[in-house]
Amino acid sequence: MKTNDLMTIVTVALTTAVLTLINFWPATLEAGGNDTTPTTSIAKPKLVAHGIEMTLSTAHGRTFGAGEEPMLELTAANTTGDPATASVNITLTSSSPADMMSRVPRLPKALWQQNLPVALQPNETKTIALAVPEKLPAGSMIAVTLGEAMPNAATPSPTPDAKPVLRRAGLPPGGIVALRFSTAAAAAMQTASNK
Amino acid sequence: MFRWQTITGMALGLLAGGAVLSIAGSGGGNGRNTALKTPSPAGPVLSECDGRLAELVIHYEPSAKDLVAKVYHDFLGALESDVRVHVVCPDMPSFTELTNIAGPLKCRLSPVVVNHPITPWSRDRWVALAPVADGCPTTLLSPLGEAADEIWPARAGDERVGMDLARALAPAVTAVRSNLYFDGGDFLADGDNVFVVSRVLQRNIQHTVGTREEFLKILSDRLGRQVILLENSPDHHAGMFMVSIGQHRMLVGDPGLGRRIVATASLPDLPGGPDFTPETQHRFDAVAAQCAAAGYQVTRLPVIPACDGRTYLTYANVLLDQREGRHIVYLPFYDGVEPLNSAARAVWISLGYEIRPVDCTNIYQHFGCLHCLVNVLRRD
Repeated sequence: MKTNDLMTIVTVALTTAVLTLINFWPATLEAGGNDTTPTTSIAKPKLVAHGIEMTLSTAHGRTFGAGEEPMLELTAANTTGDPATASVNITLTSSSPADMMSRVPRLPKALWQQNLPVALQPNETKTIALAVPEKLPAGSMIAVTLGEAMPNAATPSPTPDAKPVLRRAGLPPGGIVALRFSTAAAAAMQTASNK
Repeated sequence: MFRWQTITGMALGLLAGGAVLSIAGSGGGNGRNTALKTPSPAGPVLSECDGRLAELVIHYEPSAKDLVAKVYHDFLGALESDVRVHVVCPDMPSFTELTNIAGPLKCRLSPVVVNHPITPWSRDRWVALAPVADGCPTTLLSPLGEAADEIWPARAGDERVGMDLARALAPAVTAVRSNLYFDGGDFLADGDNVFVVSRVLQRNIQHTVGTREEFLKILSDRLGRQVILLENSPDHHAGMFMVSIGQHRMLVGDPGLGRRIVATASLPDLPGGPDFTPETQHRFDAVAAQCAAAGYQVTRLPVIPACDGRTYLTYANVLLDQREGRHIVYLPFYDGVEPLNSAARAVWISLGYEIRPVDCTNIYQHFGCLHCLVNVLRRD
C-alpha cells in the first residue's frame, strides 16, 4: 500500500467519523439519563378487594372529549375459589388550571360518583357497563378513582354543583386512580400516560 | 465511482464514529422515554435548612412579570455576593428584562436560555441530589412527567428544564428522569428525613409502583434519606404549610393562630374567603402531630388558607441560609395584613433568625410563594 493510499484512507476515515459524531451526537448526552431503579410493571391499575380484582376502562377503548358523556367498563374478576362480594366506589373528577401561570391545577371537582355492589362466583369474571350522565368539561384533566365503599354507606348522589370533594387526601384508604385522560386532546390518555 | 481507498476510509470512519457513540450512550429529545446512558450515582437530596446558599435556580417568563417582579426584586436584591443565580428563561431578551427588574445586585445572575415555554415555578421541576463525592456532579432528579402537560404548554416545557440545566451546567450538573411522578414541592428535606405529601403516593400507586411499601422503598433509596409520608396533610405542596429549621425543629402552619391574629383586621380577597373550618384545622394539626411523633420540636406559624384549598397566606414558604454563624430567613410578607406579617416575623426572630423580607403580595393568589419560585442547586 502506498503512502498516498494510506493518507486517503485516514483522511476519509477521520472526516466520516467527525460527520457521524456531529450528526448523531445525542442532544442530551451530557444531560444525564433515565432512572434505572427497577419498578413493578403495571399494565393496568387494579383495585383488589375481598379477592376481587377490579379494573376500569372506557367502553370499547374509545376516547371521550369535551361535551361527551363517557361510558366506562368495570371488569371484576374473582381470583378465589369461593364466592366473593365487594362494594366499590367509583368517582369521576375534573380539574383544570386556574390560569396558565398558576403553580398547580385547581382542586378536583367530583362530577359523578356511584357505589356499586359486585358479587361473583368462584373464578368468575364480569364486565359491568357504566354510563356517566355528565358531560365532560373542556380543557380539563379527568380522573376516575376506584375505592372500596364504606360498609353501610348509601350510594352518594351525583353532585351537579360539582363541589370539590377530593380536597383532602383525595382517595379513600386503599383507593387508586384507575383512569386518567384529558379533554384537551382527542386521545384518551388512560393509564399509559398517567400523570 | 469511489476508489477502494475512499470506501475503506468511509467504512473505518463509520466504525469509529459508531463506536464512540455507543460508548457515550444514545438518546435525544427531552430524555423522556428514551434510552440514555446510565446515570452516575448520586448523594442524598439536599437539605433545605443546612448550609450556605451557593447556587440557586429561578425561572423568568415575561408573561408572568407582574406576578414575580416584586418577589425577584426583593429576593435577588437581598442575596449575598457569593450566591450565583441561574435564570431559566425562554430567550435572551427575557433575561435582560429580569436584570432590569432586579436592579443593582450583589449576587451574580447567569442566563440559561431554553427556547421553549416555561412557568415561573422552579421548585417543582426537580430536586437536587448532592454530589456523591468531591468532583462528582450534582444530580437533578426530574419527575417522570408533569401533571396536565397535555393541556398546559408551559408545563410541558417545564418537563424539560432539568435536562436543560444539565446541558447548560455540565459537567458540574447532570440530570436523571425519575420513574416516579412528583412535584419537587411535594418533598421537604432536612438533614435526617424527607417529608412527602400523600398525593405523591396517589399519583404513583398502581401506575408506577404496585404497593405503598414499594413506593416508600424506591423513594428513600433514591432520595437517600428516611421518608416520612404525611398521612393526613393539607392537599398542597409541603412547603406551603411546613418548614424544617434543622436539629429536629419544625415550623407548621396554624389557621387558628392566623384567625386569632386577623380577627380584628381585614383580609385581602381570598377565593371563597378564609378557610377556618375544623376539617382544615385538623389537617394542619395532623402534620404537627406527625412531626412531633417523629421526634421534632414543633412551633406553629400563623397561616390563612382560602376556601379554594390552594391559596395560602403562608410564612412557611421561605428560603433559609446559614453563613458565619448567622441564620437568615427570606420571609414572605403580604400587603394589607400587617398584624399577620408582624406575628410571623416575631416567630422567626424568636428562633434566632435574621429576617430578609420579600414582598409576595402579587404571587400568592397563583397558589405558590417564594419557596415555590426558587430552587436550590448547591449549598456549601
